Amino acid sequence: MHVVKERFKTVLLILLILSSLLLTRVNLFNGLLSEAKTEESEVASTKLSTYINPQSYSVSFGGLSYTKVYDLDLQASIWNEVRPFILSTFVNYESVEEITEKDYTKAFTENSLLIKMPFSLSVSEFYSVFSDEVLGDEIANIKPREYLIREGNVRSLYLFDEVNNKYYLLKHKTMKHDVGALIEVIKAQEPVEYRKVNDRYSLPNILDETYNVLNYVLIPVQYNSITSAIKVQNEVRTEDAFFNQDISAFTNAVFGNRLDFVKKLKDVNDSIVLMYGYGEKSLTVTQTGEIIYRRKFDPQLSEKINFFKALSYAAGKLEGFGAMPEGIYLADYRFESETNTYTFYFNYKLNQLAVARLSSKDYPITIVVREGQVVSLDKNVKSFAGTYTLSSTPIERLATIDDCIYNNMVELSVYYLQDKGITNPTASVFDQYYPLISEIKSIEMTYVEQVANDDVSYMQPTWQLRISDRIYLFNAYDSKLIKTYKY
Amino acid sequence: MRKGMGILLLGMLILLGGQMGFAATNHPVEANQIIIAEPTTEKVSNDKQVFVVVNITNVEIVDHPITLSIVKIENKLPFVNELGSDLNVSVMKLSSGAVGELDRTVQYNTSYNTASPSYSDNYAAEIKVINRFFEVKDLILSHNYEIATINKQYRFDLIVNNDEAISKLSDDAKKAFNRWSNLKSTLVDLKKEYANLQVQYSKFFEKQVATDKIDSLSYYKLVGKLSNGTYKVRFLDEASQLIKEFTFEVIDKEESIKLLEPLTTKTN
Repeated sequence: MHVVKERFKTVLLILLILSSLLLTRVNLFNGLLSEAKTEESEVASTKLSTYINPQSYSVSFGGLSYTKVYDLDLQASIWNEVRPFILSTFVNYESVEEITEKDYTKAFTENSLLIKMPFSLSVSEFYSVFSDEVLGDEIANIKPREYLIREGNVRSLYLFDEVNNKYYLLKHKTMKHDVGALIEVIKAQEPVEYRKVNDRYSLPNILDETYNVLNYVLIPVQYNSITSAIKVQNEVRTEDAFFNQDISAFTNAVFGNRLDFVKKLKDVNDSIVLMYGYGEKSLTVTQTGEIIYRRKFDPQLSEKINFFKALSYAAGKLEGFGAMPEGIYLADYRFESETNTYTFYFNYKLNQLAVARLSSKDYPITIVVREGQVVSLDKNVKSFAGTYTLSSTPIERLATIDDCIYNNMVELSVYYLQDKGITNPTASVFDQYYPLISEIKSIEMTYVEQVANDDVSYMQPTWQLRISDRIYLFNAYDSKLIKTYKY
Repeated sequence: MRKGMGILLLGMLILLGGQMGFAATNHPVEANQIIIAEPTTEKVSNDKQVFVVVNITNVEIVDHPITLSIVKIENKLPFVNELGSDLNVSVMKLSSGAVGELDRTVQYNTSYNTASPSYSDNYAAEIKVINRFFEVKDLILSHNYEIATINKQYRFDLIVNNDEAISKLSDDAKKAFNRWSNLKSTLVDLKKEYANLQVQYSKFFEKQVATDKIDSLSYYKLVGKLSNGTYKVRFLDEASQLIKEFTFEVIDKEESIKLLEPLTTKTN
């Protein structure tokens, strides 16, 4: 009996020692090591098509009359209507014909719809977002920046490849499409009138054909519809009262549900840094609203990926990284083949307008995916905090594009000559007026963040013009030049 | 061949003259340097907003602004009911259609007032112009008739510069020739007077729709929807003299559709 009792005590002791060892292991290593395999694998987004869509919708009513659609719901219904026809044409095309710019612009003078993507993406990359089907060589490498569909029961789809400066006419084998009803819906809303730049400035009568006299960028001719300035706030407020609550929308995606090994530090510039372990991952929140995620690249987890997969990882990370802003879209991307690194640039909208960049790569969201790992994510997105009145005197109309150009003609002329490498100091600033006009590549209404005297951050309505290879941002209330940079 | 070239040169000169506006003096900004981008056609549908879009190719516009004036040509004289018994003409005749084609030289050498019209007491000055306009018009008709009648009998047009043939005319014929010459000479003066009266009279039918200063290379104005009728877009220099003029008509939408419809053809 005594022997049995002693044996029982020994077994119990061994069990106690084993369980103590097991619990110690769980406590010591689980947070740092075993989590790695589960938390580090990237989440792929399943809704990529929401990020790749046109950002400029131009409508021709014929007879010199045009408009642009800024309403997000209307933009979505246009895209939903024409996208199936575009995708189907890529697979079921009867012919692909290269056409002239003149043919293309002629099609745009009739009742038609011209939609412009925010950047150039090859047909195969674009199509990979929607299907695995392999496309014909004839079209796979075309990089359509614009799609144009005429009214009428047509099989035609016009494309403009900006990278290669080529225009195409594709014909669907069987499917016919008519955008007439859409155009009528837009027309019925009595939209703001636009003109083509070449019509508005009589370019074919003034300049010779060495200039872009067919310029079909649209310019508004009505400015009575006032876009209001809006007050904005940062997504994560660094004040103690808000920080923990605001940051909780990010920490789960970055650190998982265990915050035991996360240190909170304060930088010299008052940024707050959350650091995981020995710096494997970090999250920095700056006073200006940037939320910066960094992760050490792990060669053991590297994976060769294509555009589609890289984008799905980038978007997957973004979807858990705080709130998703209104009208978010993929604005551009870069690929470095040597390191198999994709950098994706996203933009978003406030009050239906995109937020303008203040330098060539200053996008609100930048995500770097290196060999299948999201190694960095920079997000600086503002949220609506109320309308903002800049002056006690109500504005009667917006500054016109003419005001913006004319009132800043000295600067514009200097930049234009400088960028073109023309040195002619005796020339009048207005000598370059029509050549400069002919090089307008885009005109968009955007928002630019400004800080008022009372430290209130607000979004200022801004005319964003691309002239030649330079971006100009003009205050849409007083036509003053806010910023310019090379595209 | 040489004659053909001469006619061609003359034609070009006339065209150039038309563009230059027959102005007595040069304008800082000439007619051919004012490019009207809109309206693009002489017929505009009344359901559409009318824009005036102008591009100037001469930078002088900055220092020497021009005036844009848009007027509607009314069918009826606006003050027709105010005219008193001094009017010698039936009011039925007082329509803009009776003004006729204006003399371009006079038209381009007249000052245009862009302010609201101010009329004389009891419209005395206006009545004087109207009476004289119709009087001169009738005189021109009667002179033309008499000249044609005499000429039919004597064919003076064939010997008008032939002194020898004129000296051989009979007394009666010579008398008729003198009468014919006097009538012709008076007719020239009457026509000059008529051309001036015509421009003065035509202004009575004009109603100012819009006016603006153009001092930049590019200009546009939303005029809005216009009622049916004839309109003139004028560009005036600093002395209010006409540099360029464009006439357009506002018509019903249905009429404009009739004009445009047959031209469109589409392929798949």
